[in-house]
Amino acid sequence: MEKGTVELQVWHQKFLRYLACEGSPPAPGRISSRDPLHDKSSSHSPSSGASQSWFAIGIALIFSSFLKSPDKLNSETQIPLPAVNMPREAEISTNEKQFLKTALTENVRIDGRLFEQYRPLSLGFGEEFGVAEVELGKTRILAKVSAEVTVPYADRPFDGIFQIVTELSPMVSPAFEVNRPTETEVLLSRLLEKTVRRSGALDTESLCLMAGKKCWAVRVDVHVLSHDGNLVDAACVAVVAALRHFRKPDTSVEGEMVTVYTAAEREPTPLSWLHSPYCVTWSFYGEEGEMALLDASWKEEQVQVASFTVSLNRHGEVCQIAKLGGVAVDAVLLLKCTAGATVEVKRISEMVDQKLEEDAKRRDKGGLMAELRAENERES
Amino acid sequence: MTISAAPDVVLDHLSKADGSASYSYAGYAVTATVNGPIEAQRRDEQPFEAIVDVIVRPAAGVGGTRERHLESILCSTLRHLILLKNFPRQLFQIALQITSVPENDYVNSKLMQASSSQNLSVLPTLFQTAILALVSAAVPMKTTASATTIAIPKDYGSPLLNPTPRQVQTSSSIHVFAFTRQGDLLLSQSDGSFSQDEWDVAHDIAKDVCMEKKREEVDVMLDDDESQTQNMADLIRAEAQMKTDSDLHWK
Amino acid sequence: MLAPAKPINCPLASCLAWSACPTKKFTNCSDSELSLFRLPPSAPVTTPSTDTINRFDLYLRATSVLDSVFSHSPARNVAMPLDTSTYSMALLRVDGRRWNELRRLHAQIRTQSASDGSSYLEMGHTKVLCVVTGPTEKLASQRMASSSSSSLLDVNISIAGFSSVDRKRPSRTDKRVSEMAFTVQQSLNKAVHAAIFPNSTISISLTVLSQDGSLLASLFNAATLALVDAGIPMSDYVTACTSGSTSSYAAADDAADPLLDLNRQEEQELPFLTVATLGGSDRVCALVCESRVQVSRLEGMLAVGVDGCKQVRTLLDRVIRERGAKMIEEGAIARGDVVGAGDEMDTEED
Repeated sequence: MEKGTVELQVWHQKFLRYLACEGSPPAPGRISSRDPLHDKSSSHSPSSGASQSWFAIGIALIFSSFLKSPDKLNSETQIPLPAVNMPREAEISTNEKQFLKTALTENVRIDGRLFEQYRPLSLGFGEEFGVAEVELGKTRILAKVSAEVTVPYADRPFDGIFQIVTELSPMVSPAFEVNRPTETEVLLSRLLEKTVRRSGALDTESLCLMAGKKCWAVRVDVHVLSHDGNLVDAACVAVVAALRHFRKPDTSVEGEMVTVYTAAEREPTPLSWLHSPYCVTWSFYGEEGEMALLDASWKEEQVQVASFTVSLNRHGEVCQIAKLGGVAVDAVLLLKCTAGATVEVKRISEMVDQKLEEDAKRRDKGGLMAELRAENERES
Repeated sequence: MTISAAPDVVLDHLSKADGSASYSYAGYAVTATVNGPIEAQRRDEQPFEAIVDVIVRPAAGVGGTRERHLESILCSTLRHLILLKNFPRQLFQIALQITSVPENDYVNSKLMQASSSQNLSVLPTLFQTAILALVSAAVPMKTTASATTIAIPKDYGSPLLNPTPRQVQTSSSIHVFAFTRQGDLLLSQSDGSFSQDEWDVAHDIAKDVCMEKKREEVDVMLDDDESQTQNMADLIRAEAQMKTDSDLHWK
Repeated sequence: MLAPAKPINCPLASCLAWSACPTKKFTNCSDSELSLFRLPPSAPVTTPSTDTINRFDLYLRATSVLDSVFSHSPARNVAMPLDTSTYSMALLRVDGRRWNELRRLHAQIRTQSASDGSSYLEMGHTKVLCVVTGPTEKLASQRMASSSSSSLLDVNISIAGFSSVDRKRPSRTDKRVSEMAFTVQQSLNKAVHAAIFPNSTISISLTVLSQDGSLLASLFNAATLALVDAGIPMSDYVTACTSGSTSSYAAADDAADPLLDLNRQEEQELPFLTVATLGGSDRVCALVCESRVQVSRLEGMLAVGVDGCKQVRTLLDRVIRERGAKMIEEGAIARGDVVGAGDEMDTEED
């Protein structure tokens, strides 16, 4: 580093002199000491061809543009280099960014919401069990639960297998490629994993059928259909709702025999569910992250300086907290946000409970059960 | 399981994509998005025409050979419909997400493996959704097309249109046809054992369902209230018309 | 779950006696020293028969003795209950610390002479090595690899297979590790004056040699030290530490104390969080909690964590100053040299 700085300065002076037609074109400082190619260009004499020196001027000009950019200290003005060979996500324009930020300093969000207001959250269930679709503003998530009987992991013979799979398909944006996990995807799946799986929301021991031999493998597939910000909160509601809605085939164990009954034979049973955690995400804005917004939209997410996701359940237990970097935010503000999240979680929790109840009523009435029974009779 | 008789279509409901559609019929439900024309990856691009990229994702589990197979069928079929030559070096990306598959209450389904007959019966829904999404994305096409499944029962009964998984299981062969609205055969996939005559019968029924009715026939059709023979070509037109009407309502 | 304290807790008594001893300073002593003192191999062991906790206590003693012999991490991957009842008795933790004490923090900078910046850091038995390379030109392949192409820092974490007791084959696609890398990268990115280095990349390679709790915090501290060593302009130190709470998530007892700087055993048993702050202020860069805890505990834990970060900052600052003084002494650099500008800017700030 130290050598580099000195050399760069010397080279800069040389370059200025060169511009005043005093000497030969200098080579870019630090690299010259190592790179033989550049060494050659630095040692070449004024007698070499004119085309070469024009080439050198070209290089010099490019480098000078790096040096003479004190006004570029603001990180906003840094233009990210485009990733090659990949369809890109449309980026939010500088004007839009500026507009959004200025509006926030005047306490206005672009969609007219209050700072601590969620977008409308709606939850629907499919025809079958274990399918939940969540809409949060324009963000749409579909979660589907499936279960099958497999062999448990050797190191956990008494536990069933439970996994949450999130794969962002090109459906979300052409920038997502199949089988190439992006940062967004890794973070989303980690957050869901920590919130739902690690917090012990599902009793995995209840999935065990025969210790070390047979167990249920419950799998939640999270399909993001449309991404307009705050994937985490929406996905979490979808996963929790789908799991609570799900019914796995009934089983019986007699000695070494495990019988799995089809839906026609015996009514499927719900999973043993212990508590329902939900995520609440805050985004921070301003120089020191002093403004906190709940449930940022995609555009707001592009401008945020930091984000903070806290997962809680109705009983006021924190299951997970993640503020993964970004601008440093005052600790007191984080505590305030957590307190705000507890209120929000109660609201979401009530909403999900109510929807599940409605759906159960809808299914029971007019008798899907009655119909099944009738079918049974016909079969036998 | 009760299956809603009428197909259900939602057009352009996803905000980010250029075009999107959800379509559910006979227990199958698929959501599709279309992005295009967009820049193609340099290693894939064709100098004289656009490429079509179809991605099929299952409702549960990871995609495997089954999905790749469906993708290749859909891709080669849709290539004939889209005016590819108008968009050299570009890409149309069609992402299809299967959201629901009718369950067979009498069988405990394994996640990953599914028989080839089950492969085929989801194909018409995928195809139909892809067409609707392409229409919604305003991708220039030669014509629209529609597809349907027909199962021929083992007991030589009359062919079944849009069979349930139970019916598929008990049938000797199933056939998937796609026709353009003018009635040209676009795609034919069959599975099981069948005779030429059976295929001909299935073909005729499918053509009847998929081809656009002439004006006077439609008027006749309106009278008898048979949702069984829902005409697919008309469905696309009706849905597109309804969508444009509602979008231009302010005028 | 927790049985009432038994008279078996003789290590505690010895600990108390030791802490009262005036010749030794209680803070900042190594764990191995502690455990050696706490558990002389000849320590009388009453043999309990019935309850599991006592058996576990025994187990702990046996392993601690081993630890002191090998000075190796006492970490193990068993999710067995830890006897925290000892804490409520004498307010001393399993390794003899009080609630607000850090473990021994030992750090060095400029450990690898070939690199642009490097550091070695120990927090208790957690040992991390960090090497910084750059700033260098951003390669096309790097632009491809990271989706956040505008990011200056490129953080790479490799966890040695021998770093914990259960030997694990390092996998390249461990989401937990890539999340940690992301956290370190995103936090330091805002602390570094990134705008000075357009289209450049600074790669931070972190190697974990030994794990005994507070892993993420150690990564943060090591990376900060190495960046300072590399002379990368930063607004301030980013320091981190963990804090926990003696209450398990189910227990709603108000008597629970917050704890500072947890070791592996405590991390397995107690709820904890990792805090990283900027320059010993109250401003939090990163806050990661992966365990269930009552929301009311959070305030105490965060306060202790932030305070711990301040302590860590002082310690890191001392390391850098000492090294700087030594370099001047040796004549490696002169006072006020252009070269040292970066380093001095950092150290002269407070």
